[in-house]
Amino acid sequence: MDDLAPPSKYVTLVSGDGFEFVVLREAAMVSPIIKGMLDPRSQFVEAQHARCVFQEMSGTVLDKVVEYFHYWYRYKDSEDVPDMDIPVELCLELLAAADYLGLDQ
Amino acid sequence: MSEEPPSSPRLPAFTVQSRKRSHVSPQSLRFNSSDPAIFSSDDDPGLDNYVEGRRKKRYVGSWFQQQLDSVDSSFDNGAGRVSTVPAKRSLKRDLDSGIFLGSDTTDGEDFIEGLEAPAMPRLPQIAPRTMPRLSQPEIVARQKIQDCVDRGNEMVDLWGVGLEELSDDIVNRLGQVTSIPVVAKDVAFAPPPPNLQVFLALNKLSRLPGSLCDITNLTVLSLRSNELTELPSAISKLTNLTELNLSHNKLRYLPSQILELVKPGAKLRDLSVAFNPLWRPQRPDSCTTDDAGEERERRSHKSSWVSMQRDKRHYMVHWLGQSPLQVSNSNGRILSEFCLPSMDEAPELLEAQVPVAAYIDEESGAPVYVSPQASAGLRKGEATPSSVPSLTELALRSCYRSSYLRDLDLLIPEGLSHLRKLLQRTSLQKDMGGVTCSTCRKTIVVPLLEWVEWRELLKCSFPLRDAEEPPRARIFTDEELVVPLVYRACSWRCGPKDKKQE
Repeated sequence: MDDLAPPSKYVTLVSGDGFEFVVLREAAMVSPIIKGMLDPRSQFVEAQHARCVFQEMSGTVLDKVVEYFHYWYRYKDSEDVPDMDIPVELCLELLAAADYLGLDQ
Repeated sequence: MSEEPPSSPRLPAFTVQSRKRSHVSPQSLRFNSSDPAIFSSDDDPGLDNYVEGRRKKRYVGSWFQQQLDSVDSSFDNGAGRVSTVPAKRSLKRDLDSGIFLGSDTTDGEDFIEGLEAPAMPRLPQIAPRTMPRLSQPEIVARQKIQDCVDRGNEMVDLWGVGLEELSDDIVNRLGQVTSIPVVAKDVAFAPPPPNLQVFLALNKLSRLPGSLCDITNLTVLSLRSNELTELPSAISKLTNLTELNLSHNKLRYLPSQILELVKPGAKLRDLSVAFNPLWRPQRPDSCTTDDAGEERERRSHKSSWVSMQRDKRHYMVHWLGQSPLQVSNSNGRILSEFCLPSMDEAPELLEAQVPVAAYIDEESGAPVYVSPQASAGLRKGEATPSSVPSLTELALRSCYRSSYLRDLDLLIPEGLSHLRKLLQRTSLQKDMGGVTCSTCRKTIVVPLLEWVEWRELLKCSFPLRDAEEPPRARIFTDEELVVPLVYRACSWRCGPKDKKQE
């Protein structure tokens, strides 16, 4: 049944403290973990509702992660890529988040 | 008499006083019946003393040492009986005696002596990193540098001191060495041109700090007979170098940025990398072996060049070949089938061989690619070419900018030890002066692509035109000046350029 219905164009990412981010599905697919969670062929709850909850991430961290998703989506085919600024105080949390989401390529 | 309350003490027995004066013993004076003198300061401020008229004191002692008077106290129930006998006084100074003795000097020392050192802090503290102590060679080196600073001598001779590491202290002192400007009539008082010469030969240095490359007035740097395994890529900042001696070290490769020092117009005249276990190209099967006779002829030819005009020689750089690409992700895991020989795995293996993906054909002088897809030896589906840096890389660059980079790895929880290693690697790179992309010169932490290019550095005495000197395209000679250069790139866009297009 789920296969017949086209998946929504947007997915919702929820942080541990309750912030919800609505992201383009294509942009979020940069993370292999999210891609696996949202695979429509899987029977995960996340895939059925297009909603992923990350208990470990705070809203500020997930905000930066979502910003990266769109940064990647915006520039993935372009030649000239500007730098994305990451504040130093977030660097360790983002490093752990990037490791968790498999964003190492 | 009957009006007296029953609690009052009995009257002493009435005795007839004799009119004669009796002997008054001192003993009887002590037990006189009158109340002791009462001072306002001794009074207990409690209300008990004022209600129901005057009653007997319940407390004795001075205001800071009040005790219950046990004789007639309503609180006295036997168990909590407080002894009124004062403790025996000892001859020690009470800090809070309230008595100030006039004296000329401040008696602060006495107070400090009496104070106890604060106990251990209750909150957990990060254990302080042990500060490196100054080793004996370092003391000698400091002394020598100080002598040069004092005398304005720009030739710093640290031959065979036994230095194992160049500390920041040493490097800072080296930066202070300047010559004393000439003071004479009709001569402009100007700082003399930089001419700092540092001889660090015959030491035990295993790596160079990146801060050494900030001393841009270095002109001669001799690192002969050390134990260097890597040269910082920041060496390209030493644009005033005329002599760089790196022979008798453990270098496997040079950073590609060293080409900045030998490009036309640069000042470097003498680069020596002999007797290093440099990576050698592993010849593809199609490549013919070198003819020894021709080789010798060419060598003699070249030496004649050098002798022609020693002072005007410079370097010509020829591209000779290139290795396949090593592709890694931001965690430092290598994704490609080809990987560069590791330093740690085989330190005893001298002159490791690196396979070749492209080389210059001897007859035609055109580059030959061993396989069409040699530049991308990727496993299928592992990496997608994109110019966008990964989030891990971006976060690492942000860590790199932090001034607490050295301590950041202590904050990583136990389960993420690979991130801790990554941060330690980042910290080490920062000490070495950082890694920059060979193409766009951006500071990067983990390069996506790494490859080796072999270049031949030819010394020649005059600018050669192409007609005079066809590219001496000879791959893989035993020349000491065929150097492997490691290129690092931040993204696929900064990857190796196609030699056919050049």
